[in-house]
Amino acid sequence: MRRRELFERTVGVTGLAALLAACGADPSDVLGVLPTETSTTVRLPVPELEVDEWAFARPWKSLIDDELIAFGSSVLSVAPETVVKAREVLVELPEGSSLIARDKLFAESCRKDSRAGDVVVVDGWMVPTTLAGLAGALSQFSS
Amino acid sequence: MFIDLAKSNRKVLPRCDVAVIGAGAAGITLALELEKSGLSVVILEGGYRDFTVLSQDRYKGEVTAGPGFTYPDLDVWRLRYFGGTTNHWIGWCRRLEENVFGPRSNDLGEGWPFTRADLEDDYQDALEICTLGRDVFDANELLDGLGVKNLLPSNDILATPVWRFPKELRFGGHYRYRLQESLVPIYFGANCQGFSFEEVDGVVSARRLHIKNDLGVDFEITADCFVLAGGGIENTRQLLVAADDVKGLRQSDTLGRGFLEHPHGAVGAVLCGDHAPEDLMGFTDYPLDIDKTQFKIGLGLNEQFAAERGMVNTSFTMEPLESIPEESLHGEALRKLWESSRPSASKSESSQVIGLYARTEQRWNAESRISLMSAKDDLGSKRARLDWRVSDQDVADIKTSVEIVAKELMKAGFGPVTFGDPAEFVTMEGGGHHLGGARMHESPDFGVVDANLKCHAVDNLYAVGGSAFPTAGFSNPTLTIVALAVRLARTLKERL
Repeated sequence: MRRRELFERTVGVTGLAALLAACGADPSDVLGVLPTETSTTVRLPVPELEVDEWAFARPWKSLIDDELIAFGSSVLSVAPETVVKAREVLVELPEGSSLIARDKLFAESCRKDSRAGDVVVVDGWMVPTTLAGLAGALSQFSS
Repeated sequence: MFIDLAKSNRKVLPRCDVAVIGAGAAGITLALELEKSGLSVVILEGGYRDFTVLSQDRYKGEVTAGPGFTYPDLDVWRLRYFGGTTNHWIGWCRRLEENVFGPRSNDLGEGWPFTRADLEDDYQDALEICTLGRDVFDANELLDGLGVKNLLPSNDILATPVWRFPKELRFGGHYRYRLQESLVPIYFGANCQGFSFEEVDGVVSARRLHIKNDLGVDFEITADCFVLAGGGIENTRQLLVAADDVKGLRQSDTLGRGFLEHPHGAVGAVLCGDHAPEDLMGFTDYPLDIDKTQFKIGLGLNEQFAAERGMVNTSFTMEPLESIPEESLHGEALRKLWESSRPSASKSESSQVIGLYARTEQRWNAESRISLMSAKDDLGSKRARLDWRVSDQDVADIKTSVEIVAKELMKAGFGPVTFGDPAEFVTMEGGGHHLGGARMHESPDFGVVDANLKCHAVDNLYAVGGSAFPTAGFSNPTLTIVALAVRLARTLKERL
């Protein structure tokens, strides 16, 4: 429930489901948090990632530990809007993209953030908003 | 000419034009400059040619510092023998920032009573005296000379201050033979105990200086002018002792007040991102210039940018680190996250770490002060007490500055920056720079010495060195102290 509330506050639930999926969540879990009513938030295009692409997401999932969860939770309380940014980056990934393509996309987004001064300070770290948003999203896998 | 006062039979030393008290960077510079003009000069040095425990013990005192700041005992950073504190000087040299000299904005203090341009001729001499090689303090010019591209050029926000390092660091060692063969007598073991003053037609003058050797035997010397050149704390201590006889020294109520340091400390670390530490020659190391002089490039806020915001001047230097500092929260998680978002080829390189080390300015603060203890040394002189205070606003400025600089670093292609644990943002120390305590001001109502370093209240007593600094910028002070000694030599030559 907490996960769903946090995400509803920041992004459209449908898009969020995609982000969660891309981050390696169990699809059934993702579907389970979808509301039955229409969300009032703006919905963004959903990347249609294939289930057999979980390998694509695993390197991120492997990052999730207590430290990341603590940082990501701080992100969600200090700068929840950054998750939107991370999702916006993610939805640009074409279907079937490689891990390298994903890394390149995120690196480029982080670089763009930094060059534009689009950064946030969380727990004593100044980070590009894309990176903060990614941490915020990944932190929701605490359970 | 070196003379051990413990072996001297003359209780009254020969009269001279100028008696210089202290054989550190300022005292040695002043004596050598004055000797050129044919004036009779003596140097009175409390220590000896080499370190002695007995002499050093006389620098012990009492120290307190504000919350979050630490400061060692007074005999740690000051050295009481020939060459003074240059005997453990690391050699960071640069001119004081230009905005330090004029009137300062907001509550940054009075500023200096002359401009940096007024001190430029003296700086030129000081560069030579300090064996600093070429007068090049421009990052682009230095890096161009080595065929290296500057990856962090200055702009409207970011400044790239440059430090140069002398070829010869120890004033005692470097100038020993020149002084030994000069006509300037250097009395070792000459512990100054205070002055006798006289007042004629309302003008107070120092007539005699009382001295003890290490055995406690009394000596005295008369001179047309006396110059305190014993370092920021010792000059102030001598003036506080003198103020018992000369009330005018306390007219401004600034004597002993406004002790200034350069708060130093690790304030952050940056993950490399697009740049490796070795791409940042000059910033992350100490390369040799084409004239074989070492230099270092730092980062800071553009002077005008800081001044417009009423902020103190700040600078940061970069040093490669083995890993993210332990004080940082979630360090390992951030490193892995950062690497995961990098192209495969540069993952590990992009999370190399460079530490950010602050060396900053603090505001003039009346509560930051030097005073006399009731405890005395073995010869009966009151010891000094230091209470170093840094204001909350200074800390806030440092924090703001490092965040601005961090943002500029990220714009230039660096990765995330950590400022450590936010709950313990500042754990800082001083830089061993003892400044203020007898500040320079044109008016006796606001300062202890005038623009010529003469005490307002005593017609022939001068104090040269860090004690006179009304504000201190972030630049290491030795080059400016030497420049002030050259300036004083010009003044005394005209007077005498």
